[in-house]
Amino acid sequence: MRRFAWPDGLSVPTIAVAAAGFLLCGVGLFLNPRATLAGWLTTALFLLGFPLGAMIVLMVHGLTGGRWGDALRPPLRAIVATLPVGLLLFLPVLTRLDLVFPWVGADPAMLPEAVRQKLAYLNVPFFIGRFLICALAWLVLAWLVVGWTAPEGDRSSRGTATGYAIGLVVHGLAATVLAIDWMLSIEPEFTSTIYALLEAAAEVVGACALALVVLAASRAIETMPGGEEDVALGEDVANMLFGFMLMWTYLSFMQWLIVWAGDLPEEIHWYVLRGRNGWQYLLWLLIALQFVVPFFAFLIRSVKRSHRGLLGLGAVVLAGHFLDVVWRVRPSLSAAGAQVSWPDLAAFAGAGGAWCACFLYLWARPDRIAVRRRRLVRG
Amino acid sequence: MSLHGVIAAFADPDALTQAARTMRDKGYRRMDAFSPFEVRGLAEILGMSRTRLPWAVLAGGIAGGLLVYALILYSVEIDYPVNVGGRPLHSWPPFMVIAFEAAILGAALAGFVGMLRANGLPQYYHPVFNAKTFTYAQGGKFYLLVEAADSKYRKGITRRQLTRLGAETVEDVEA
Repeated sequence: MRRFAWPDGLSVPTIAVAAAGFLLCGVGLFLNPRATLAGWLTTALFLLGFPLGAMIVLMVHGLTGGRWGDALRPPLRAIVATLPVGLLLFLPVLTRLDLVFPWVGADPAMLPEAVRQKLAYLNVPFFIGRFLICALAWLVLAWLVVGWTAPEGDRSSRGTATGYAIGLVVHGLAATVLAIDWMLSIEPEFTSTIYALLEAAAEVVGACALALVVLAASRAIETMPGGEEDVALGEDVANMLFGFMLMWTYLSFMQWLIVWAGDLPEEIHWYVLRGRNGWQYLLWLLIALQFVVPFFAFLIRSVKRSHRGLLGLGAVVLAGHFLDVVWRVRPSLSAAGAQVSWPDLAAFAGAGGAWCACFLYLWARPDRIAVRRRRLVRG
Repeated sequence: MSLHGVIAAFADPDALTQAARTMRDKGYRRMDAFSPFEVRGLAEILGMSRTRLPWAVLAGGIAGGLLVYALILYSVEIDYPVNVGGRPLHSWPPFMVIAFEAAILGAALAGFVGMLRANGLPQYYHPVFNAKTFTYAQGGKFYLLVEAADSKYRKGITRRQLTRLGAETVEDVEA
């Protein structure tokens, strides 16, 4: 299949941006390590969400089938193949956990009672061990999923329903650990049993929106035949993204509703923190971008059938997803309010540029995924 | 007995589509088609207007949501104000859930009623069932009905035109 040559042309600028970002982050680590790591962790969580979400979509499609997934498969595979880069982004944070997590290196006597009881789970060796196990599970899973969904794969290497189902179970457990360890434990007093599913739903939205943008940018997706007669593929994919987005909306609203109704100090604090000092503007913006605008746009058929409509929708949802991750992670990491500091921008440029370069490299020529995979087999 | 129109039976959907297109080109406007399953493109050929059902569903959804939200507001603010755990009387987060469900119910009801109305149902009498070829025993074909009220309708001429278009049977329909 012929693709446009633009991704390779973009790799030089993205690498340049990444290099500049890395340089600035290096400076930032000396000047203000706390702020730099805060920005870095936010970006890393945002970027790791893409391969994890893409893996969910690929596995769900492996179980259910359907034409929409066949179209999304090439970009999703390229996103899944970037998983090692996404995991590597966490290494800088692992070296200085004490600057990010309040339960690291603190005097237990100074911690609140609720957090002190959690120290059996929240301690550095166990934390790092859990991260390594999850990373290993994901790498194996990504490896398998990329192999199962290979376009040139013969029947024997195709994924089975059992494989996909077990993969989803394992992924669900690992994603729960990720959400609790790296997002919730920044505010160790807050608990929310819905949060891991919320994070997984957000990851799916992000991965699907990115895949839609990439597909629409490189090919005329709205003219490809869809699942039914008279329905274009772009419309099918847009409807799937609509469903994923509604899932995220539902879970977000349910967490808010339960915490609001309970009105317990250690829970509502999570929202109080995110509802003032400028974070409320980010909240309104993300509600507009990830719910209100796409909700009405997805209802209009002509938008789903036009090239620019699909491109715009994907971009709006993607921007909303980014703001959502920032809004969930960043407020608890900064004492000051919602202001853009240069370490944030440097981290975004560095980590984002590196990830984008990797993604474009794999997306421009999908056979590179298979080549990397085979080299790994030979050792 | 007055005449409702003339009905022609065709063997396959392509013949029906072709006949409908030709008759439309000849200037017939008051036509209807019947088939055991959906024939693509037939609605456009017969000049049927685009369905307005989505607007009815949207209106039903909005009406349902607003009505129920207003009902909740009335009951908590005016009819029976109760302080629950110090929360404001107008506690919109939980009300949203009920209003949303009512909006879905309103949309579904509007869709159901609107579908019936758009199809002209319930209708207890339709002249087309007077045609012998349209009965259960001989049915299952693809039919084109030309109403006698059509300005182009001429009894013998219309009949011959339909026969020439490959109709298996052509039959007058009494009103």
